[in-house]
Amino acid sequence: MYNSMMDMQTLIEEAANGSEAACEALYRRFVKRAYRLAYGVLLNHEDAEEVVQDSFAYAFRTLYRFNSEKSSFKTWLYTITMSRCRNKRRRKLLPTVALADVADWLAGGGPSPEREVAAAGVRETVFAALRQLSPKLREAVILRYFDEMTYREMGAVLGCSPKTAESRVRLAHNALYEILAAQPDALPDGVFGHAPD
Amino acid sequence: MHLIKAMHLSNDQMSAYVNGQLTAEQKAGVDAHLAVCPTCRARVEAHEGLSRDLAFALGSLPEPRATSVDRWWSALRQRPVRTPLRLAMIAPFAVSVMLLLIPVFAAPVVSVPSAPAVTAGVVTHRQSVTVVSTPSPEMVVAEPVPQPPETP
Repeated sequence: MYNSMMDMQTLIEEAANGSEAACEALYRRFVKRAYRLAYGVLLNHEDAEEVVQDSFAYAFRTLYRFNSEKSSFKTWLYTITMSRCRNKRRRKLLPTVALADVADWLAGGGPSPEREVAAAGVRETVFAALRQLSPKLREAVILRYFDEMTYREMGAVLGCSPKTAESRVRLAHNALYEILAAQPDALPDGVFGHAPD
Repeated sequence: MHLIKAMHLSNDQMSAYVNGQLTAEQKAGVDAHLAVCPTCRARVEAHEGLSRDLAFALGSLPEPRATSVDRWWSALRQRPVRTPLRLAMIAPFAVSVMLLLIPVFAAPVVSVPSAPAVTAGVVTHRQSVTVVSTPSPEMVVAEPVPQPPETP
């Protein structure tokens, strides 16, 4: 009933009016992005899964509050997701990098074993460095590089001004630069600009 | 941003540069400096490389499996929450209740001045009584009427 080209505003209105089919269409359109965002912030599959379900449940409950003149649905959903990531983080210490998850998503196979090894090396090194950032800086850099959000959109999701979002990205970038530059022996060949295509 | 050739760019300037945070004028200043400073150029290239690595690593965050997406949706549908669908279902009932309550809570309030109380030919008190029009006598609200002073 709802195809991928359907106007977002129509979809949102019908979902807010109680159409389960419209809710499902919204869910399927945004669930992957929401999961990846939650995973990027929490670095844990189970936590990301729980956050995604909670986020959509809350979004559907409060859809009548959504104002498309104030933000896009994506920004609104990211705000909800980020808020739940923060709650989740407060309730538990962030676990170590789930290497099993890394291996899991690499298991799909790639163009060549060598490239995959290099790609895995870059990912693992970058994620290990991300884990050393404060939560606020990590959130900022993930939004910036995961979805190429504007600083204005980032400010809306993070609950700060665009200038503060800029500042956090800059601080995060500097911190990551220092972290990675301080451990040149640990860097795989791909890091600092040689990420496999 | 005025850049002197002898000075190198700070990490903050480089980070702002690669993250698109500089004004056109500031960016032109950095570009001019990079054109004559191989040291800063090398460091900026490293910052740009870090940006590419971040975009690569975060751009390849794992997607949920299709089976997980279906399972989560099933779980969402089962949640005993106030979904929009349920709101739509209860909305007519809520409106009916509100319509029934309107006569009780939104009835016109009439202020009726009481007749002057006369005791022994002297007007001793003028009291207003607020009357809420309702079939129930209990709903009549009246301020207590002070007793007139004793007259000799």
